[in-house]
Amino acid sequence: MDIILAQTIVNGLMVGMIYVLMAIGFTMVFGIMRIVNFAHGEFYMVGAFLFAILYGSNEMPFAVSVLLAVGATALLGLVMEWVVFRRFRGNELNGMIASVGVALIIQNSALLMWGASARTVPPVVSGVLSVGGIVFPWSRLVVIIGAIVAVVSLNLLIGYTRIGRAMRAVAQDSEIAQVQGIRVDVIFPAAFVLGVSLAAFAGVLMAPVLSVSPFIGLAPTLKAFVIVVIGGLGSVPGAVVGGLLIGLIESFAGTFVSASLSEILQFLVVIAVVLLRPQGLLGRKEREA
Amino acid sequence: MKSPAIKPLHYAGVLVAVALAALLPWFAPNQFYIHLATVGCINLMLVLGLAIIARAGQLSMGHGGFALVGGYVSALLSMKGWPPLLTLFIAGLAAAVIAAALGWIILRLRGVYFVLVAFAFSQIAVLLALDMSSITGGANGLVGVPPISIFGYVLRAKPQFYPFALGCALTTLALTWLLYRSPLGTMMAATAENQRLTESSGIDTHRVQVIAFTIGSGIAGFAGALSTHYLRFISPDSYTFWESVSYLTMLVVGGRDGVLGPVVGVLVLTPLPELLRSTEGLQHIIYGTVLVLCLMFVPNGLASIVQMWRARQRVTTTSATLVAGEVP
Amino acid sequence: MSMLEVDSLKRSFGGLVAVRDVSFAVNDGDFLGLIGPNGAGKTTLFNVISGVLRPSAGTVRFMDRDISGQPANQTVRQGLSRTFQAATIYPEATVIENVARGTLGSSLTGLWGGFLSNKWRVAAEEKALHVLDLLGLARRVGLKARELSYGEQRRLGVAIALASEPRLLMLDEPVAGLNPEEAAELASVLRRVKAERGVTMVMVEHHMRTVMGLCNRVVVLDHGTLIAQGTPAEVVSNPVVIEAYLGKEAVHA
Repeated sequence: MDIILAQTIVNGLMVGMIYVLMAIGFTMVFGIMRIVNFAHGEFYMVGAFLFAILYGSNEMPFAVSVLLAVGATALLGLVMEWVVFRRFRGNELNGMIASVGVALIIQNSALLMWGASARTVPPVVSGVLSVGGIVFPWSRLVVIIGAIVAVVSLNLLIGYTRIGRAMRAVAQDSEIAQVQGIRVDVIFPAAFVLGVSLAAFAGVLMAPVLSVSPFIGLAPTLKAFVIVVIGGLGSVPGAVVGGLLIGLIESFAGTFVSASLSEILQFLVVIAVVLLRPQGLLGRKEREA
Repeated sequence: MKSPAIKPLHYAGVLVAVALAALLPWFAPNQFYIHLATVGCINLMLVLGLAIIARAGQLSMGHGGFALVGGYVSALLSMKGWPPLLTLFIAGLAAAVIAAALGWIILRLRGVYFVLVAFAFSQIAVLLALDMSSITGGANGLVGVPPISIFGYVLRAKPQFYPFALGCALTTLALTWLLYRSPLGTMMAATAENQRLTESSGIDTHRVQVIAFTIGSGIAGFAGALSTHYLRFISPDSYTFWESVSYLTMLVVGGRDGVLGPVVGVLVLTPLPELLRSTEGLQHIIYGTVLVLCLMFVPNGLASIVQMWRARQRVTTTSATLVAGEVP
Repeated sequence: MSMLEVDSLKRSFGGLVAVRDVSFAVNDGDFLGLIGPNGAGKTTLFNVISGVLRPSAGTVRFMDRDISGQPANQTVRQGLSRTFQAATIYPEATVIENVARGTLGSSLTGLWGGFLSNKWRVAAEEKALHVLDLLGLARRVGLKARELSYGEQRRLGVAIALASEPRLLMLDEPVAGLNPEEAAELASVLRRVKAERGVTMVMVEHHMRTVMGLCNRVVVLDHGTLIAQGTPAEVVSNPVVIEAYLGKEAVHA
């Protein structure tokens, strides 16, 4: 296989899996809580920053850094849910606008605390994997593996635990779920925390590969939106399909054509999906009135 | 509804406010205040455009993108020799055409999908401005954009430009007010309040929403062009996510319902960035906090407080009249 | 020529056939009742005729024009209006504004007129007042719609539908949720509207007393099929109809 082609595929998968993590977290929060969270990418940024500080600057052990970074971001998410998003439970529109405000607050707090300049984090694993004469850096493969582990774990959680079943019930119909005794006051924060933890974990994985700054949150947020529109709002399988699709398009178009054309192409894919299959590739058709 | 005595007072108040605003260049201690007022006028146009879109029940997070498109279109054409007064309107038209096409496609979607795709559009606009550097100057933008000249009188200095900006803002305000009172404006409000019912009254709500989106985004294009000829400069940084957010904040804080809301929002929030220019991060945090607090405690905006007060006055008068009438 | 002709209409949702080969006609001046046990497909049929759903097969002709599958707002402009089961109103607008909005779809100014003068609004509110008077809501015009009682809100829904000056008005369970007094009041209002405006009416309803009192013809649906039609007296004594109802639910008296 051509070297460039192979590397493009691997890059596409790596970027794609990160996008999958972002999109799953985002679509979960929407599916269960009906909130469009413009601040989603800021949790990615916070996760990346905390990891950069703990592992990069303070040289704490890897596993501890990961757990603390994700845990602290999850805590931030819990606080945000309790202070802000809880009040907008019935109101999709205002909840979305509020999330924009939250995004501003988080992004600029990070700016004030940690400064605008980008930081780099030393790679977690060094060395390369040699397959058929082509070399793949382990640092990138680790991201793919880590993301796959996260997605599989999430699937097990949603599919086979009580809380996972409760979340699925709430996503289907929150009124009926409440009547059946499911406590949305517990499920909503749990879902939100889970969603932002995925974003934070994505940030942790990407920190050694890309540089970290307070401004890295916006692009993944936008990507999550695009992927979720393509895959279907509220559909986790849709987020996986959409994420990988966008990651591969980005990688291929970026390598073989140009970066700007890659963005336009992705946008056109969104428009095409919207025209031909408005509920998304794997989304549910809206119930007709 | 309004007793006759109030109406002339209402109009007099408006005239006084407009006169004060127009005479500002002569009262201002230095040019900074004129600059602030000019920025306020441009902001008002952008927020009014957003308000028109919101009136039909949709929220455009892509508003900055249309301003950016308008700015670049006007800059590029005028730098080729076209008169800026003409390119202003071409810019608005270009933005409107793009909005009509985009809106026709994505306004069929549930509100959430529309917001996401509109937002994606604004980001694409910024990326294109960055990448098409041979045309747009890339990250450096376009410098030396020609100033507007009206019948030979060139609007180069701040006190010269301000009256023109004020005129544009007031015209937009008046046109928006007329729109709101018209059948189309009423259809927009009905669509926002209960789309299913409006459909079943024989109104094509999709068409109404596309029209609102087109008009609002066209105004944004015009305003973006106006700003470009004021600053004589445009770059991909001119209208980012932050700008779209600030217009949204002004609309939400001021009030989404009538024409008074945007005015209030612009008056309250325009001075803030200019006064806090030294600490940009803090300024954004304040904006974000104001936005969230407003949504939590005054979701209908500051203008609605005025309206609530007036409504309460009307009720007390009405009850008093009723009581007076009932007593034999 | 019948005003409304439904021909071999079918509507399925995936594997479920909700309406199966239904054909009937409504003549000018009729007050047609559409009844049947729960789940018979009445609401689906209603939604297909009014344009909310597309038919899977068959046609709907209104005033000799094929309207099958066309968007609902177009059908309304052609003279076929409907009400909704839940009280569908504009909660924050005043009662008169609610009905005035209902006139917009069929007004002469269209989308682009009425910018410079208020004449259109004066005309719209005048029309609205007439309708509200007919429905007994004239003294509530200044209130916000959400301040009305439930029964008044149902009547407001009818007023909004009438504002578009339809030839045929379809009513979706108009007395559902009303107490016997409110139901009788609404029934007499409908009778008055029909007499004064000459509007043909089609009503989906469970409440048999209302159906018997208002309708001159009745169509009965069961499991998506039309099982009987005729005058109320004929239908009520029809053994097929009785069998469809017995064993499913008691017929409301």
